[in-house]
Amino acid sequence: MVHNDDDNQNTNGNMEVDEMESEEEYSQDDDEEEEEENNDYETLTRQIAEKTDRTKYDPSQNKEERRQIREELRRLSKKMEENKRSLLQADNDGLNEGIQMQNEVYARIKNVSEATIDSKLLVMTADLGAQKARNLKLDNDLFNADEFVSKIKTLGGSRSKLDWTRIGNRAFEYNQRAHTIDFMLGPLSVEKKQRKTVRQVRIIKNKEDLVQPTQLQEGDIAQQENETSANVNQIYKILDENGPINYLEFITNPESFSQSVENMFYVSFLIRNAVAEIDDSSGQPILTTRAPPAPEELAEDLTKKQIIMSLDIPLWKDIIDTYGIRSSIIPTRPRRQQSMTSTRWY
Amino acid sequence: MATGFTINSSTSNDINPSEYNDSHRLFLQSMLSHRILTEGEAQNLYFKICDLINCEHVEFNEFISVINHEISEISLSLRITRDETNGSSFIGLVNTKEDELAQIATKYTPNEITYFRQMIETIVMADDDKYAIGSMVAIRLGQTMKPPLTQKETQTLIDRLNDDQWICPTPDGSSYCIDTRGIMELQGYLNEQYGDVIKHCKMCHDIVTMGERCELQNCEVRFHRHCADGQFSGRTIVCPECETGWSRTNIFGLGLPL
Repeated sequence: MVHNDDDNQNTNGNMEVDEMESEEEYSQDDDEEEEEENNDYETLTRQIAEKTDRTKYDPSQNKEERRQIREELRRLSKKMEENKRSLLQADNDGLNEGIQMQNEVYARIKNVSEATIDSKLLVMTADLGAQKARNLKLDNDLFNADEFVSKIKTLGGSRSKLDWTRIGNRAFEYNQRAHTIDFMLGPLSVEKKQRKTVRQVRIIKNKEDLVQPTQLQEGDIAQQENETSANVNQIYKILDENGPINYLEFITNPESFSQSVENMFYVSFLIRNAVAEIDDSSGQPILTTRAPPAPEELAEDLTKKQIIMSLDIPLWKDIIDTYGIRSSIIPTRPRRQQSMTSTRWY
Repeated sequence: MATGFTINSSTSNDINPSEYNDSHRLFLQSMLSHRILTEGEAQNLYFKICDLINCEHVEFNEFISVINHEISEISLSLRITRDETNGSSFIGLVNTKEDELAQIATKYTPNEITYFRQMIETIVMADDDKYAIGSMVAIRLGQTMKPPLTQKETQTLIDRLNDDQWICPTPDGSSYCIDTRGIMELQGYLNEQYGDVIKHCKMCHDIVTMGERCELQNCEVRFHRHCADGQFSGRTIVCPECETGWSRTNIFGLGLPL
């Protein structure tokens, strides 16, 4: 039976056992199978046990050993706490020695609970180191900043809100700083000369003069003459009267390019609503009115098709020449009246 | 300001109160620290000092005038004015001359002084006799400086000006007006710069930035509230100039508490 190495190897000590059988086993007898299975199981566990890496983490570590490790760690932290004061001396190397001893213990640690204790100890060591560094700066023998601060706190009542008046009164005895005073009259006068020339007139705002945006009422905006739907209907009527007609002849207004474009615009509404259609099977686009399509026709493949018509002035002139358009079929619409009544802008 | 002091002075026990002595010096030193005090606090201070120095009391005003006589040489003065919001008396140490020495006697940078100057201009020139500057306007004012102040810097500056009692917030919290100390020291400056627009109380003739005004729009008569109390007690209430009926509710100045 060949078991692949990578199937069995569990570097994190995973104890999950999957029973794996190779294909060869299926061919053996039942009795032998059972025995073989037990053997397989044993081999399997043995191989797993051999290959597991227990150097860093081992839940099955000897309980007694673990107890000893914890005891030693606690002893080290106690020692460090007791000797705090002397450890902080600049010439004392106790912190370093402490770290060495911690390292030795750490090599034996194989579980989380011990590691926690070890990390606490390390944090304490680091704090002491930082404090030692601070003291080094202030020449610890002459002046210990932490002690000074704690004494001030005691003087101030050692509550969260210190009695600063009391502290101030005590400090005052040792302080001979002269009072200073700052003024505004002198400093403000710098550059005073230029100010006089620039003067704004102060205004008292009169309530009546305040301007509010004009509120528009519905009837205020006069209905514009060029209402699209009215025009579309109008054009439909004209188309109906004139019967099938060439599209280009219909829309072109020989007198006004803009009116022609508008006509094209309105006709497109008719086409969109399918009340008119353009048929260019004859080569020329023929525009006719028609009834709106029934639902059956739509279902039966009558598709919508979108075309974009464009018209520019040269083309428009060209059309007029080609078709010889003299007069416009669609009457020219009057220009929109611009009645400017005095106050209103609309 | 070369007046130092020592408590263990060599003078004997019979101190002449009308001469400049240690009690005056001590009081002055205290005023250097406080800058402005209510008259009550100042008098308490005076009594304490007298006990300390062991000299007899005199009239408080006399005491002040002795000091003023000495410090006028260096263009300082102890002034007594009344707070416009409630009429209470204050005494403060102020500078009286804008000479070169005084120009550098400040911990504000020139840029900050420019800001304060513009702030004062805005306050004095405010519409409707408000005599106040809105908080947001004040912050935006900082950005018009050269170099511009950030919003945070402007707010810090405003807070410092507030702590030094040059300005104070209005009762409704929306704006800042000039505080008593500011008016006290800058009287001369304001009169000189804004003489034509700034108003004076009809009764005491001091600058008035909050109080009561005449009903008639164009009438220039203004009173401090505490002055108006004195003017309009009992008699028929009319404007002393245009004789329009005087309404005691026609107030101006955002700094005035309602």
